[in-house]
Amino acid sequence: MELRPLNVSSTNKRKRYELFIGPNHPGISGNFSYVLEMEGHKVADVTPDPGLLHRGFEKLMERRLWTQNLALVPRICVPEPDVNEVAYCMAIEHLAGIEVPKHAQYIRVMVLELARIASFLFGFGGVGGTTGLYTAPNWAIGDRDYILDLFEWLTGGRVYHIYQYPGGVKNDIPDGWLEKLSDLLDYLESRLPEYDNLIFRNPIIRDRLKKVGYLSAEDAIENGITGPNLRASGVNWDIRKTQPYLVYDELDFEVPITGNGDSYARALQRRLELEESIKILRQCIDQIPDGPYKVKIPNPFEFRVPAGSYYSKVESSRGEFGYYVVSNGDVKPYRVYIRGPSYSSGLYYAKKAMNGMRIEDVPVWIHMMDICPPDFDR
Amino acid sequence: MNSKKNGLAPISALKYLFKKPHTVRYPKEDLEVFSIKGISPNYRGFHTNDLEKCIGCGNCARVCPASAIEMVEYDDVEPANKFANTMRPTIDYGRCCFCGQCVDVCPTSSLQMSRDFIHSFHPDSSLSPEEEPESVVKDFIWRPDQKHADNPGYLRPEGDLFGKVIDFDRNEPRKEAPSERKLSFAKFVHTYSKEEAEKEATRCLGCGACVEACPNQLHIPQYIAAISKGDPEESLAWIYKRNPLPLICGEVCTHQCEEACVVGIQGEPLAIKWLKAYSSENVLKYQDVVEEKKMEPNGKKLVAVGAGPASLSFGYYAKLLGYDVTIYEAEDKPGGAMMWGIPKYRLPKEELMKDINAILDLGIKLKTNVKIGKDISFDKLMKDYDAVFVGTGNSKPMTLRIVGEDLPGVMQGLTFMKLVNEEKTPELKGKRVVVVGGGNVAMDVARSSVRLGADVTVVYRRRIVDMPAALEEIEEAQEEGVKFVETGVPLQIYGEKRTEEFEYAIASLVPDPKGGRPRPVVNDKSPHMKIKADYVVAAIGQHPNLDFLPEDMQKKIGFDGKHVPVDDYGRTNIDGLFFGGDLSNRRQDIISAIGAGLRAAKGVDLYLASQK
Amino acid sequence: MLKYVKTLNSMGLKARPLGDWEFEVLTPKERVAETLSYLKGSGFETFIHLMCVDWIDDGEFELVYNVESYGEAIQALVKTRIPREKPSMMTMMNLWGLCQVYEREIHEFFGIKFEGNPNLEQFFLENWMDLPPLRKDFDTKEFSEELFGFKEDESHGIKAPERIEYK
Repeated sequence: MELRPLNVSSTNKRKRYELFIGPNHPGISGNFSYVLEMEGHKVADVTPDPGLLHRGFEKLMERRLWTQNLALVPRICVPEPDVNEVAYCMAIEHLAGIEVPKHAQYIRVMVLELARIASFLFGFGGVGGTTGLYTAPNWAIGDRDYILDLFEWLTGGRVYHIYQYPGGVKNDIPDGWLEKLSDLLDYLESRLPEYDNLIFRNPIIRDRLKKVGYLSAEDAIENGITGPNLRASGVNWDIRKTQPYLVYDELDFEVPITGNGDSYARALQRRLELEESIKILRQCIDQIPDGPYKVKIPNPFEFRVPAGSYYSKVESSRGEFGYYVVSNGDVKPYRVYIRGPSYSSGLYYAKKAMNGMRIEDVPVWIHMMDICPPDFDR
Repeated sequence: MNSKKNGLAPISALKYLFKKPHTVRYPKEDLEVFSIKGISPNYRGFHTNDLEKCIGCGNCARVCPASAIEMVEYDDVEPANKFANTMRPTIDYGRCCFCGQCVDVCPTSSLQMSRDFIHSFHPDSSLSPEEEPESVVKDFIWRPDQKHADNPGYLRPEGDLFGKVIDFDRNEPRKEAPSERKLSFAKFVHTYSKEEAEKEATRCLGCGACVEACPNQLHIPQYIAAISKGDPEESLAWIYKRNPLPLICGEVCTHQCEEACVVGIQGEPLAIKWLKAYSSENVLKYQDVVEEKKMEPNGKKLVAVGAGPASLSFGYYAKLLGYDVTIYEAEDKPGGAMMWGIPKYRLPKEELMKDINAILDLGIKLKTNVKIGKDISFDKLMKDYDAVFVGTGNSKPMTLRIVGEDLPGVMQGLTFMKLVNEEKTPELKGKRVVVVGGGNVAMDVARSSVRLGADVTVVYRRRIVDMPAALEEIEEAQEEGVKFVETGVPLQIYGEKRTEEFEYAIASLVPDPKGGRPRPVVNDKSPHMKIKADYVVAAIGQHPNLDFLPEDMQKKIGFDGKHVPVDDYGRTNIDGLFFGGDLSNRRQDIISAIGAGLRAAKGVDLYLASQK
Repeated sequence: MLKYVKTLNSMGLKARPLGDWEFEVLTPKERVAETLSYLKGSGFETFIHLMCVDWIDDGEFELVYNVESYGEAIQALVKTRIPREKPSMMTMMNLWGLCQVYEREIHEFFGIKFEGNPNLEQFFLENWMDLPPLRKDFDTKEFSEELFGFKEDESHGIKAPERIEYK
């Protein structure tokens, strides 16, 4: 994309000019940017610019074996890679008619919820990056690291776990891991009041977030907004509750609805859901049954998935993450389509929402919508 | 939560100024969250590979999603077993994504990952800028030998068969119970059903270690993959590229391939033999699916002596090359040892004829009941045909060379089997049969006798584990009630008019200094045993019978009474004379004979091309 | 859910349930708009995604519209097939403005023209001149080998077995 020269016509009272936000900006993750056409300090028009982010995952997957792709899919979303693995595996399992053991399903739920917490910490902790309160992201990243430690122990990798496998997971839970997880949950819970004090009770943050980027329930539905953002607008919709997958129907948890529809509501929504995730994890620790951690499937070279197509979806920390998998019965997928939750908000709704927004609110809006460009420019 | 607005609340964060930081000051400090100090116990760091255990199968290289692994020839490694090669993986850490799939698929557990992950590159400042990329590349491509072995991370130890992505449990075909099957000569192994075959075929990793072990290098991974795709016809087309007797091999092959199968290193090898039987049994007419194209007839005439597997294979491939082939057979039916030596419960005659007829239908002339050397002289064959192939196999049985061997009731193994196959055996119900020998023929004799109602004892001069017969044959014979005498050396056969008693000595085994099988030694102290015997069958091997060849010819080709030396293409010292099968093969089995026939067809083609 | 399946079937479309909370509708190309507007009017107000599959052997593209009803927790997959030669489809922007970006992506990666969509310019790819890359006849390996002048060793150094062939 070429930058147009600044319009310096002196006859215009308000100068119109172009402004890049991203790819290097605390409010933007991934190599993505918005080109804002500014009128004074207000946004007049927005053009999303994907830059050189596209990696062609969907095409790459067609060239690789079903299970080889498991090393590829987590890279689609850095803050929360596990939803990719689980959604992809769930689609394969549905097509191949594989029944995943209960033990493995509980492990999956624990992995998903841990990843959700890590991602939420990024989400509301990161608000400091866009507002200048740098203590918040430092804390959040630090606390997220304790979660990554547990992931490292469980899976052997910190960020990209490559832990799910069609039919279950790759390893059983190591001895002592559940106790460590319990300790971590206690620690995280003890940290929540500190976050409340630092962020949610902070008058500056409240002023910066409140009434920014108001999104009504109707608009949210119309524009395909999903996940916490949808709930922050007052729509009671959580795939874990309404169309439960894995063992979510055996777990007791609430779906908080904040309902104000502004950026503060979205931050608060994540903060409240984090508490529910801790609750879910506690139940998993108590309820996890014994049993095998996977069922055996044929080896990677001969693993053929029966022909068919299936859309599997997972409630991720930023909305509905879906995998539409098409198989023609071969050892490689015929087509995999990935529905990232940021697609609608980041590419389409952003233009509507940012129109007329003040420049200082733009990063706040982007961040609190949790727009993660890698999941739509895959 | 308390979300009441409070301007003082954020100030409370200041207390952290006076607390110990959470940062870990590596390397002075290290993480202490795990059960061991430092990073996670199953961290996926740099690879280690036990080069002595690695067999170079290349499965790691093929499963790598980033194509980071390349197999290269190592000159400083000893192959772990006779099927292993000296290729070993090298890993390009510029590409590796540390997913661990190579570790999951390693069939020997030699490839593992360590907890080491720090690597720094020190550029050589003396290098010119042009040479620098080269040195960077070298620095990132690693040979994962034992460098990090003392710091194991993500691994699949030998005991963890469940954690690996390989299916180690073999699906045996259904077999009749011993009490049932010993009552008749009916085939007792049921060929796989479609589901069973596909399930077994999906265990194949496709690495091709079996191909090197097969005496005829069949396209094994390809035909197994076709089965797992659910396409027995494509599978048969692959088999037929190198084996025109698929059903026979499917039933009775010695399956060296299964010994080499990498899945068998820690689990049970694939049932390659039964899979082949599955595809050939499920194709009604072979020639409908075979893709091999017959070339235009070129007018040259070839002859093969003996209608055994070597000649049939030679005839088939020579016919495809456009030659006119005639096969002479001394007996009234083709098949040779497959017809007369193999009992029906292992290979029903209709299955045998299905394979043979498919070959003969191609237009190969078969002349039965013609004895070369008696009805037609060998010199005439050499004169009348452009090239001669001899595949007469071993037909002269070895004898026991003990007293009483000429008594009625003493027989040779192959003679006995021929009687069995012709259903002309003497009444054996309730009779005691002693079988001497430990090869496949001995097992055939023993198990056939059981089916005829006899009480059978096998006397072998070494231990059961040393027997050359296939292990499953021995086990099945034991299940059917055959008694085994180990380290029994025959001494004498007693009897007035016919065989009554058989005497043997219990030998002591002396280890072979060369590492071969132990040698049985009989001395004065060896105990002597006697058992009652109505029949004694000596199945201790056979020698070739080349009496039909003129003596000067026998000498010229270097025949030593056991072997005819030939090159890869079956060529002998005489132009236009080719040998194949048990006469010249190192291994004396059907698949080797088929291979010899195929190579001789190529040899004839090369020879005749050079004659022009 | 069954009532929707029934109604759609009575409209002459092929609908069937896929699971506890989803069903699919197969429609001809011309009736996609009708089907989707019926669904939107019946509570399927959220547009989840639009994706495309290249069935090259059938000479067809398959378009899958995924819409969701939050009120009843049902998801509907509307599938249609269009010919691969000069593919075109009408835009669904008048139902969901959101379709604009999905249609743009499909135009970019499959080359399907959406009539009525004002902006089908390249977006994710930069200066792309080749075949639309998610089509099955676009070979990534050939493309990258040509572009970077680099030949990938697909054998991974594994030697093919040595055989004497009869031919």
